[in-house]
Amino acid sequence: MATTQAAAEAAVPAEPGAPVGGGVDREFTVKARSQRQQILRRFLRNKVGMTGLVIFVLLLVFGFLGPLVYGTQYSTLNSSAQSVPPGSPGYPLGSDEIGRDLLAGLMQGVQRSLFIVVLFVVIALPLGLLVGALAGYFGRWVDSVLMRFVDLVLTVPLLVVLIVVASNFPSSRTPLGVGIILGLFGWLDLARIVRSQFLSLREKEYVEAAHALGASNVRIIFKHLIPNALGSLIVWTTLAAATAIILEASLTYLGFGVNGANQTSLGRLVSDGVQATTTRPWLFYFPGITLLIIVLSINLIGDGIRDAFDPSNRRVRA
Amino acid sequence: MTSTREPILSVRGLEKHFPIKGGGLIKRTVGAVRAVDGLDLDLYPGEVLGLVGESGCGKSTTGRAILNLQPATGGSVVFQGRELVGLDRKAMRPLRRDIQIVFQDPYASLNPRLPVFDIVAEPLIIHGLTTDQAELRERVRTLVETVGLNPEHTNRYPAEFSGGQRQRIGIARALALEPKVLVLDEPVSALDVSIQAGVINLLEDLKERLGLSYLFIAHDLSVVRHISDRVAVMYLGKIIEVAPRDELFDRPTHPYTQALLSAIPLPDPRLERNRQRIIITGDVPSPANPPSGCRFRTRCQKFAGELSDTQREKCMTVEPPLEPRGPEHRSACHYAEARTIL
Amino acid sequence: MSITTNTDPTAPLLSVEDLNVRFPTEDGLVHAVRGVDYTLRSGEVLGIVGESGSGKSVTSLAVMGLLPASARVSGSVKYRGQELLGQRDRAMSRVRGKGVSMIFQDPMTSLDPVYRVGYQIEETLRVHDRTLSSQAARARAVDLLTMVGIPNAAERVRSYPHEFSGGMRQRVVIAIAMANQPDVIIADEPTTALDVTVQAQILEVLQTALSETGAAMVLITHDLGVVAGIADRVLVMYAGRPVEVGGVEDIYYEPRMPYTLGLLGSLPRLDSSTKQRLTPIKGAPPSVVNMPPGCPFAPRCPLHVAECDTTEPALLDVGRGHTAACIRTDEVGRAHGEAAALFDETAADDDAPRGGRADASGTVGTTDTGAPGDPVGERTDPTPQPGTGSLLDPTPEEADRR
Repeated sequence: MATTQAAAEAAVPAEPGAPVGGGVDREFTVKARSQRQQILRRFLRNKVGMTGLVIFVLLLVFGFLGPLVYGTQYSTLNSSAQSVPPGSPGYPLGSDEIGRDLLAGLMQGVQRSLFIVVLFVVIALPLGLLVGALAGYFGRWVDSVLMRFVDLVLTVPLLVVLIVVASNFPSSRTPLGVGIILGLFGWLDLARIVRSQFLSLREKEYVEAAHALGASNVRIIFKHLIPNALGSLIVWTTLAAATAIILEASLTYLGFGVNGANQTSLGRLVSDGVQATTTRPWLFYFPGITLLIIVLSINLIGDGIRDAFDPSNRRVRA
Repeated sequence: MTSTREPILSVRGLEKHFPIKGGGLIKRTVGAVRAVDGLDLDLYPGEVLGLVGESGCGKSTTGRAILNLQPATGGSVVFQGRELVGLDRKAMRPLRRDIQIVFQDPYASLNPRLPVFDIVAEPLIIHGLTTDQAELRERVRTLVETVGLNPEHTNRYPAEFSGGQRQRIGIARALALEPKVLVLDEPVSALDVSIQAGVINLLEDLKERLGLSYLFIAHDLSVVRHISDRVAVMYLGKIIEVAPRDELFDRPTHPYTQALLSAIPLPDPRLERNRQRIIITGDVPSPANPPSGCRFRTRCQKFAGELSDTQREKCMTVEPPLEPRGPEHRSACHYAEARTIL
Repeated sequence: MSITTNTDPTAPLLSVEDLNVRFPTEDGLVHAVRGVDYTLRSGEVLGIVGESGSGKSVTSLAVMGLLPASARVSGSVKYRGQELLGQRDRAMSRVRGKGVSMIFQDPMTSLDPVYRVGYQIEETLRVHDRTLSSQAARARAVDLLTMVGIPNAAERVRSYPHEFSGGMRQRVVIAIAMANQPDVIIADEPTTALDVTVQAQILEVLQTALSETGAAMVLITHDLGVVAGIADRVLVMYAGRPVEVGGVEDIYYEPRMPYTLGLLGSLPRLDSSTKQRLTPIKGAPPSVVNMPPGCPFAPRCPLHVAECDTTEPALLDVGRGHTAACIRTDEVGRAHGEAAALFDETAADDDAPRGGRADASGTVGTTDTGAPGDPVGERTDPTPQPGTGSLLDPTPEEADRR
């Protein structure tokens, strides 16, 4: 008898007042559409996510194409234009106390910050995925050992860990170094997310079916588990990327981040500018606002992706 | 006669106990859920053996234990002369070509992120049966056609198919390795009746055409009567009655089988309203703590109403073995007697 | 306003007229219920049967006013002549429980896990009778639990829902539904989540409860056996509409709508030893979004003619209060309940695209899996015939293995 489908139908009465989701979805699914298309479509229709994406693309253009168009180098010192306010000829956003152009600085800063983010993701994502996957899939002692290690590291605030590492390796205070350090210590929560995803996914019937076919562990992990955990991976990536930008800024502000002549990042600019909030406010506010916009745009994208992946989150527009 | 043939699959004393862990820091094992607790059955070539029982009786666990998906904790499963219990994954792999499973929930048993082609081709790729892309395409095409689906649609994802179509995809996947035995774990219970009938017919056709043997696990006795050659009834991890189909439905001897048959509503108003109904009380006891002696005695209509105290004593202390009641008919009750229910 | 002041004693107990429910979704408006009419007379059991997606559950939620706020409901639902649709929640809750009460499929979600069952019954009693003393409420709760067959009811009132088994919980749900002696009980798949032996117990309890209180019941289920046992009249739903309504024997023995006939024919029978093949209905139920004109069952119907595609047939009277939404009810009647006479088993396969009945251009066509011969239906590919060797030609390497 059709118990399961009946159950799907009865999922509606279970929570009156709740948005029509899950159960009804199965009953009234309409057009044949692949899941990827559906997710993409949902994302493209999500105003919040799309706003974030547009802003983010504009920032990319600003950071990577901007310097080519603008021409002025951040490293160019100009003793005749020290601390000029925004709007001065040749200095649209003003300059700092040694005459470096702030707009060029912002472009370079955005570029470096995004570079750090990419580096962070490239390192943290595989690490977290690997550890989480091993722990979640194999369970037992593998899980215990790996997760206790993760718990142990997580008991110390990440910023403190980063400060300790950065102060012991002074040569790491470049965007490259900061990105690597962030990546090496930023995968821990991802490992937990992946583990919990795998713990539930490995019980799915299609995974059991793969076992029944004689599939290897590697095949099951890569063909069946990771693709189904993709949603939460992408969401984590966006949210962690935003966190990485803030961490970089905090680290630099505390003097353990990007340091050195002609090295800059948004964190560095903010950190330099904060000393001049009263006298030369533009040096603090412009980098600060840019930092805010980057983080906000990435978070908005993350929200949009999460909504697109999780149809139960979807609101019915009445 | 089945008795003169060699079984293709022979299960003896199968046990699957799940440990119950205590709370606290050290997770001690404080007991066991005896999901399958000493089960015997034989599956003969070309036959459909129905395995029925209520939820929690261990019928699905039996199927998974036979396939080593949930390794048995005791007993023996001999498939074509080879012992399966205790085999590790590597040793089990070549045997998986001959024994496959179809799952209950067509919404959960197909990976939503793989197109149908990849799902059906997966067994062929895993077992390295073909490395040639053109051949692979051709074989997937044949398989998809075999189960009555349009091969043009193999690039679509499971979400685009209805429940019945997905179940057909699951069957195609199981058939890809050309198994000899299919374990069908409630293959139609998630489907609506009008669609269920098509899948049942397909399973019957495939069995005839490909010479398969089915272990058909289900709770719906109407479906089981329709498709099975022999039927085994499970209660709390044990088989309590096994007989050829019509023998079991026409002359059930175990009180539980009788109550089960009597409880199923017939889609026929006059018959249904004029039936004598045996209504047994209570729910199935927990398999973590089954009753002593006969496991069914706590709900047994015979134990409650017909037996004398001395007779009950035996039910409470001695576990009834499966004993012959007729040709190929065995049941586990001290006071078994055939009754006509339908 | 009390429910007694606005009701009309001569009006039918419950009458539903032209009930429509639409859900806005991102795929468009889902028209889940498309014009349901029925009346329930006192003491009667009306069975509503249909497959998943037929709108049978949504219909009863609409009657109870329990649909999510986004649902658009139109039409009329009258309890003793009093309109229920569009009532404020407060007015509705006075009718709910006292006039009309509901039993859901899953007893776990309809009981509150943090309160003792006795308290939950007493609360239901006191909502409708503020003057009831706590002793009286407790006594009544014990009576109710006894009526639904819970042993040691006086002690079990102090139990929490999780201390009960599934069958016992459903008994508690029935006790709560019966607490204020409603005139109408709407039971939505009350036994679907239960095992058959427990289902038999619960059905018996329901029947006892009905006969003790004299309530009428709307029983929603997909199980044609359950309906055969306790319904007086049956309403068959398909694609959000009733397609056949009539007395229980008329529906089972003389169905006049091809869908009903097909549904009965596709059921394997417990009481039949003949190994007759089942007669499935080809295709799948249509999507209820942007339905094309014409009879929704037409693409699956063996009696389909061009006329079926023009307008959706209304329920036509075929005698003795039996109505069927089909323009060819006479032909269906000639089958006298024998589905095989009408449905060609070999043509029937479940392979219409999901929700795509209009584009029957053969994109998702039939490839017959069935028996030899009979080139039927919209077959797009030749069928491998039995007896022509292995279907999956073995590679040499496999041939060795055998």
